[in-house]
Amino acid sequence: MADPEKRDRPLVLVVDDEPDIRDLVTIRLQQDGYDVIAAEDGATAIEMVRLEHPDAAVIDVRMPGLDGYEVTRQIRADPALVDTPILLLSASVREEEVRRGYDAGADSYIRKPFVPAELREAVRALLERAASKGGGDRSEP
Amino acid sequence: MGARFRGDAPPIYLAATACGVFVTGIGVLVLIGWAFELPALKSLASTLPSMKANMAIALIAIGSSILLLRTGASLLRRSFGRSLGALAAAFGGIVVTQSLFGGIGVDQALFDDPGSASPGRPTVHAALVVACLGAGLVAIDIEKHGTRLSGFLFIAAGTLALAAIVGYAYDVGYLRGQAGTSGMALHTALALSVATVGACVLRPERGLVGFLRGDDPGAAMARVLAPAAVIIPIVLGAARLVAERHLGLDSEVGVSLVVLCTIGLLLGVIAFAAVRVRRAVAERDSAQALTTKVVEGLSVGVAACDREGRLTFMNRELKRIHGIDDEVDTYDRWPDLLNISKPGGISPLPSAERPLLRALGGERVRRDDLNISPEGLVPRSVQVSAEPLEDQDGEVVGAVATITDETGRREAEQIRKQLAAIVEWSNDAIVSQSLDGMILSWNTGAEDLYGYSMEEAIGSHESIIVPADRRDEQRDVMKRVAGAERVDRQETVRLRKDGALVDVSLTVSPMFDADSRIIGASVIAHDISARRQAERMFGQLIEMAPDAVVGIDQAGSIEVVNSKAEEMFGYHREELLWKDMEALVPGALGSGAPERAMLSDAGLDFQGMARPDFERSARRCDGSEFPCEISLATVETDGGLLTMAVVRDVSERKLIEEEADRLKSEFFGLVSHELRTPLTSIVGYADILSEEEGSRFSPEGRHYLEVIKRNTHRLDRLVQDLLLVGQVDAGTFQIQLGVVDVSATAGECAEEFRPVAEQAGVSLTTDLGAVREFMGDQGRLAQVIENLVSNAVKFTPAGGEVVLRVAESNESCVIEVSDSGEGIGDGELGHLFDRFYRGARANTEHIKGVGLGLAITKAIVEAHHGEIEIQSEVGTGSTFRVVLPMRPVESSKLESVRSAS
Repeated sequence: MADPEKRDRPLVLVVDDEPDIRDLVTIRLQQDGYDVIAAEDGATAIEMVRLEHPDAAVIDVRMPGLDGYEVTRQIRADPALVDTPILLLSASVREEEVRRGYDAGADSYIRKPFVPAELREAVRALLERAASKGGGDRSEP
Repeated sequence: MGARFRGDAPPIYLAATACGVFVTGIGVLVLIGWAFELPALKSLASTLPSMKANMAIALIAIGSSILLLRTGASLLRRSFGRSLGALAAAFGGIVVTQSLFGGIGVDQALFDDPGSASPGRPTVHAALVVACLGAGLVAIDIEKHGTRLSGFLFIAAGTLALAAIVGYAYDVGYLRGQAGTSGMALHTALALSVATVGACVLRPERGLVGFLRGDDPGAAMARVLAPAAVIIPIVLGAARLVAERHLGLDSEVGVSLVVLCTIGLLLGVIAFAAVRVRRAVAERDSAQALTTKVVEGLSVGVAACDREGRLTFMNRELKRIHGIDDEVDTYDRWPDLLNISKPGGISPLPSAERPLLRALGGERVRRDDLNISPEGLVPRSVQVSAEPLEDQDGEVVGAVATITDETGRREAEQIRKQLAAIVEWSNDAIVSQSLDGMILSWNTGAEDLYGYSMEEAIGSHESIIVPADRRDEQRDVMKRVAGAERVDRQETVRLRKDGALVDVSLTVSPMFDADSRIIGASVIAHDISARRQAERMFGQLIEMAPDAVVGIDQAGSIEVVNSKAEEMFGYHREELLWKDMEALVPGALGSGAPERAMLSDAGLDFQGMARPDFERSARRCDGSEFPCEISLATVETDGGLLTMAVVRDVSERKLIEEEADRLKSEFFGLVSHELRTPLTSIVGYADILSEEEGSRFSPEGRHYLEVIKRNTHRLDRLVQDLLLVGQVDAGTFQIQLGVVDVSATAGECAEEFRPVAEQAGVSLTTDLGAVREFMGDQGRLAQVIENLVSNAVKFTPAGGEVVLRVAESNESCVIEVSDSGEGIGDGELGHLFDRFYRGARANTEHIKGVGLGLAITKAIVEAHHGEIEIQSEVGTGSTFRVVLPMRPVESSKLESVRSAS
């Protein structure tokens, strides 16, 4: 499943150290018709992106070890992975954290707690945007 | 004006004495002739009648009387003289009585007088002369009438005596008294004539002689005419007789010649007299002109009036005092112009009290309490003396007044007295001393300060109060004063009498004499020991202060520092003093001159009041900077206004504050994450549960699930509210601007709350006008509307109504929520926006909420630069009205907000 073009359903990577949240997001995304793979920490997540090339990644900001910002930064730093659309998930309401996320290279951002529609809408928008660019060069938001 | 005399008095007095001696001598000689039977002495020649012995005695009496009565003689002598006069008068009276009523047999009491026509009895003629002279001498010193009487008597006596001499000259027996007697003896006639002259000149200043001696034109004329009137007829008569008798001239020719000669001589004499009179008049006029000139030039006002009280003279000074133009002839308008007023007042002096008019009544007036208040000028204090003018007979013919303008002198006197009082009662020691240090004056203040009494101090040397170690300093001061310099506020030490030292501030000024030579020094010493003590205390307090304290003078340089300041800035005290404050704390006193001026003004107006703290950056000795807080206060000192700056190093506090901020952020991060992560799970799984498994639940199970979801929602709201409050506190609360359809948002809120309202039996209606292109944060605005509607529904009892209105008005968006609830009491209105405040009813009626809703609403409204207001009436309901500007930020910023999102 390394080639995204061959998939009939988009593959979304969910990264969160909290199993409850990780499962919740996974369930919601599966309900929305995506294939979901999950990682419980940043390092695993980067590894899985490298292996699976998911169509989008939903990453929790606050995690032990590599946090969401750092994962985003490393993905963006790797030329092979740079195009991966990234949605950051955060419990913080502070504007500066939102800005930090965009600065690290995230494409979108939703806050916890979220309602199912929010998540659905955000992932859909992310994938549409990526598709419209045809997987080509991306510009910074 | 009294009669003035020409020449010296002595010659005329000598003439009187000479006459007296002559008359007495004749009498004595004749008496000797009688005693020794010497006919030559008794009758000069055998053909002539003899002088009787009693007549000789009468002559001695009269002669002696003249000698005794001479001017300046003692009272006793004069009494004796008058007695002798009375004796002579009595003798004359007796003789006249005898010749009328027969002899009384005393004629020859002394000496026999055989062969005489009237033995021992003088002629009546001579007796009359003696009686007149005697009586005249008695009356000579009796005031007024006596003087006048004696004048008449002397004239009568002189006329009779002269008649006797003429009788001898023309050989007319009758004139010599040869009627029934042998007639008056020749030497009797001569002696009586001389006696008359002597009596007349006895009081030369009075009577006929006085008049003749006057320098008035009348006297001058009389002096020429009187001798002529006596001599010319006698000489011409004698000449005519000689011519007729010896040359045989006809009596017609004689008379004609006498007439012609008389006319010629009289005309000559009159011409001569006229010249004399004219000269006398000229002399008097020039004397008068001189007098007038002198009087005009006097610095004393002079006024004179005539007998009727009409002003006849006013000199220039008096016109000046009265403020009258010198050229104006004022005499007619007096007394309208002369505003003499009562002592100390303005009310005019009644004319009866006017000194000049009172003087007319014969009294001498002197008043120094009158004022003259010329129209439009400053009143003058005057001293007025007035006295009557009398003529020779003592009759009042007018009055003269002198008026001295005392204003200047009295003012000067008053000022001098005031100054003396100031010096005497000054609290400062005021001492004057000569340049070599001799104390000349010593006031009470000096007595108190130094302990020496005035008696002890005056005449002593200043060294009694100058301590030994201050002598050189004092010498320098006196040297400077001798050079006309004034030494101001020299702070030094003085020695008291009890040996204690006292801190003083000296002001030493040179004293000048009238020729501007420096003759000494005035030394004013102010006791500053109390101040010194206060200064020491002040200094200690400053030294003990936990903050750096710096005193800055008006030029901005440092005058006072404490050790904390040394420590804080890293300088030594000596380095800090006189340094510019700007070098330590740039802008400490404000950046520019105007602010400094403002500071000094503030210092003057609010002396000693601390100015609010403000923060600056301070610079240490090594150039490093640190944040500091400065409080300024001003202190008035002898050296001018001192600004005291209390500088506190706040770098540590800054660190703590930053740490606190960091901790707060961390806390909020924690709250966000640790509360919201489980909430996310609960909400998420509850949703999934109701979606996936809801159909398999029993109705109870579905109800329980709803309870979980509802409470989770509440908890989420609460966490969000708390976070928002935290953001507002931290100043990090921001709104996300975008175009908001306020009406639609309000409509959604209304729909959301409709079930709740219905459940509470409250009707919720909306009136939503269109609001175009409003810029704001949709989520937050929804929160505002929710809060307001939620509150309204909560506090409105069943059956009531809540109305939500949205409208655009005056470039503003207005959101209004009205209810028909209980209303809010005045006591509660002020607290509505306080955090965690819950109305009284909220507590008693178990209405839900923690009391953050309105506080948050207000924060959101303010973040939109809007306003919220409440109108409430207890029992009727409340209206919450939010007014938001259509564009909460400038359009340029909006653009950037738009592009960013």
